[in-house]
Amino acid sequence: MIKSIKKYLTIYYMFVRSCLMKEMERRGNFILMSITTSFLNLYFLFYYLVLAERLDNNFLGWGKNELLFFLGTEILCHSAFMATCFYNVFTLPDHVRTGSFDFLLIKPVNTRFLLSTRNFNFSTFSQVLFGIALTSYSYWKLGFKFSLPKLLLFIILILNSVMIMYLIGFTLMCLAFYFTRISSYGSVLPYRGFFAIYWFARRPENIFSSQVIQILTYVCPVLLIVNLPCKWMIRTTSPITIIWAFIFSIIFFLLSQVLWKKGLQKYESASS
Amino acid sequence: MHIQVENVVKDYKINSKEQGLKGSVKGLFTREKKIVRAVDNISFSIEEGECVGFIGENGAGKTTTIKMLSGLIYPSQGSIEVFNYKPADRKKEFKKQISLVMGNKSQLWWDLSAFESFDLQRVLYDIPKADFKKRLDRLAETLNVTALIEKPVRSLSLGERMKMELIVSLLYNPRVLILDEPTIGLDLNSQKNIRKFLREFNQENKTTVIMTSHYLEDIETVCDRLLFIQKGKLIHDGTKDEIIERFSQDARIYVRYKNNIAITDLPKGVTSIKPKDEGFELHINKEEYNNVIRTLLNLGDIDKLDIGGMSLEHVVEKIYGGE
Amino acid sequence: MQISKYLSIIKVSMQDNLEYRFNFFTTFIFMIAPLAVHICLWSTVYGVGVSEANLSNYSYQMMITYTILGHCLDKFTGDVNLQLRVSSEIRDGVISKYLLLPVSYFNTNVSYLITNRMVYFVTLIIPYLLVIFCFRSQFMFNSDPMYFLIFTIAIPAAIFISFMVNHLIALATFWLKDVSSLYVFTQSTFSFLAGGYFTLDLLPTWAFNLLMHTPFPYILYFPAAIYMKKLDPGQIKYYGMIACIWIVVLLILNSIVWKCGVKRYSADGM
Repeated sequence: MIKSIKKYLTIYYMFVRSCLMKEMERRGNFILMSITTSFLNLYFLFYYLVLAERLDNNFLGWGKNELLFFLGTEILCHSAFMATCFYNVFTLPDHVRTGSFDFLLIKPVNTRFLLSTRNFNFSTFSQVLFGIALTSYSYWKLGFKFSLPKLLLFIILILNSVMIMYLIGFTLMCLAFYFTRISSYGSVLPYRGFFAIYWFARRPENIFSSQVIQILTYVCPVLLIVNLPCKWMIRTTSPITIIWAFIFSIIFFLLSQVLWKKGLQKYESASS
Repeated sequence: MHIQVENVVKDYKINSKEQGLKGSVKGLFTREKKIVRAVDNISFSIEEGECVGFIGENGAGKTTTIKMLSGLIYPSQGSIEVFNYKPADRKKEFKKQISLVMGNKSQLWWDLSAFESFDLQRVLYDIPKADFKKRLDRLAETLNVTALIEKPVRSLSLGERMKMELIVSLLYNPRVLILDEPTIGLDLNSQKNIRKFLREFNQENKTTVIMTSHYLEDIETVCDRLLFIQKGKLIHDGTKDEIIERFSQDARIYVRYKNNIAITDLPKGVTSIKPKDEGFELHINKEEYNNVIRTLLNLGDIDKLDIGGMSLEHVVEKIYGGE
Repeated sequence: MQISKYLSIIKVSMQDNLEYRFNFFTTFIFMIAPLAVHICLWSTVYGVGVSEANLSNYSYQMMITYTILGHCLDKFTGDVNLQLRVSSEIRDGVISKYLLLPVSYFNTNVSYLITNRMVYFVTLIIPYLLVIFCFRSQFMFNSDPMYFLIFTIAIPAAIFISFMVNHLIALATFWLKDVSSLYVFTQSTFSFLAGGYFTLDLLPTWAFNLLMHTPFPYILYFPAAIYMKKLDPGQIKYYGMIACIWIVVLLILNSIVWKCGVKRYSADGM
């Protein structure tokens, strides 16, 4: 058991190392990507600043700094997802199309693990720094004091959020198995579906009516992604919601595993 | 039996739609499903250490068959057993003993050196470090690529890349090596090197080699045994000479006369004649051997006379033509 | 004779576009998501109570109209695949055939644009009409024929400007090796500058005036503002002129950059 864990950790480390080496080879592109993705965040920053100003610093009860903290949390979740999962989660149709999926299947290592961890993107990882800076700044501006346990749970909640985002994307991507024609739109579909769902997580939950908030927290719990960690730090949350967040991830993971296995069976019966 | 395939059938469901704009609009709502039989009742068995080649036209079912052997797809009917495992179960122990090389697809990391891919393979297949180093050095030396291991894969030529593919597949000492068109797109020298390597590797290590190829020289050089698949059916399983014997009633005679005599009246039994190297190459019906030879001898003083069976290429062409 | 060539391109690309069955049925859902979120946002903000003076005199109706129109125009004027397609065609050397054929690459892309937009119009119009129907009490229905006419003229201009800008950026593939990061940057920048994130009226006046002299607002903000009668005739004339100037400038730029690019392409034998 321990040996197995060690093996998988070694494989993950080798993937991360290889990706770093690969990106260092193309330094120019790496720097360009890091800069351009920063700009994306700047536009959202302007958006929130303009809104805050125009609404007299009162966006549905959230002041400017609270909005900034929210944005920072969103950037942390988003960039962590982009760095670790994004370039893996949506690559299945490409693997199937080019035939490299066969190579993943034939290795004596869990195929889902290989597929989900193969790529690690360092240029989007630099956004994490931006997110940390923004959250730290606005947290300090709001007058909160540093608290280690609070911070730890915040980090754990963000990791959980990344897991939920991974599971959403992965589940959508499994649908690629069911479209026997992996056309170019077959590969765009999960990606678009993911962002359609993610849009509901990207804004402070106050924009929804209270019934919708309940639905989006407990039934289709996208609000667990950004709003929960944010509220944990600068507002209040109920412990039930936090526990639900973790339970949901586990249930979702098991469901996605079932979908994956079924999808593999379909692949095996109808390949090429 | 090392590998046993019994009555295997593989059917595919495909969607068909009509042509043209009207068909596309119709296709939005309904699609007809057709069943295509890619592999039709194939049975064969392979012993450990054999070198077996699959030949057949494109779409005949060769790649489907070897994919079923490696466990990537499972048969619709019939059973496959590879050293007591069912490939479709895809057990870890099974996967560690087989290896798949595909001619036009690469499993190496493109931007990094080949060594990185080898090292990853070491971890994936639990190869002990000492064995890994030993095997890597040996394989690299045999294939003459020791200096290239540290270079990025994208800077290697196709032939060099294929050698790296072979190394990465053999590092963990599999019992079966499956190759799907390994020499496709390679220059003549590389093709020769790869063939020589496969032959020698098989003889030294007793690794079973299963290969598909369109280059008949691959099959002739490397494989002792041929499986000819046509339209999903196995139409021949045997040695090269057996297939020639079975499918061709012709023999080949090359004759060159001292005084450049032309053959004007074709003797009975000659199916075709064409000029070659200042002489003539005749294809004759084997039953008319005596008749033809006698006639040729009577025509004049012979400078050179060559008698032999048909080439494999000719036989294969004939079969593709519609036998 | 020229037309029949382009007509056959139109026919084939329509087939191409209709092929993707699931895309057709699911595009509706995926498009509506950001729109739904923003409508929720403004509904709740106005519901709680705001001073409209702060929001550049945008009533709730106007904000909702802008949000819906903005999304609709954003999808309609932007072809996401254009840049990727042009990029890959340059990289893979497909454009070589255009150097040999008696058909110009730019014109072919324009034909493709027209067909693409026509199919998009057919697939998009129903979902957006549905949304407008749901919000019919808030949505401003324009009763002024003059304004509506100018609005319908502004739309093809918007499509064309968006096309030319994206095409121009895509031509960077002649010089840069990896342009995907550039596209991510440019697409969000143009979306922001065009008014895709929020109505440009919310910007400070100096920023607004500066921005209106760039081509971007004419892709999104300008047609929407015309529809909502946010601009008076004098402004429309002035900005309309700027838009026309930009169309000419972009055409010239595209032509120049293409010629330089092809020279480099032939010289390097990419």
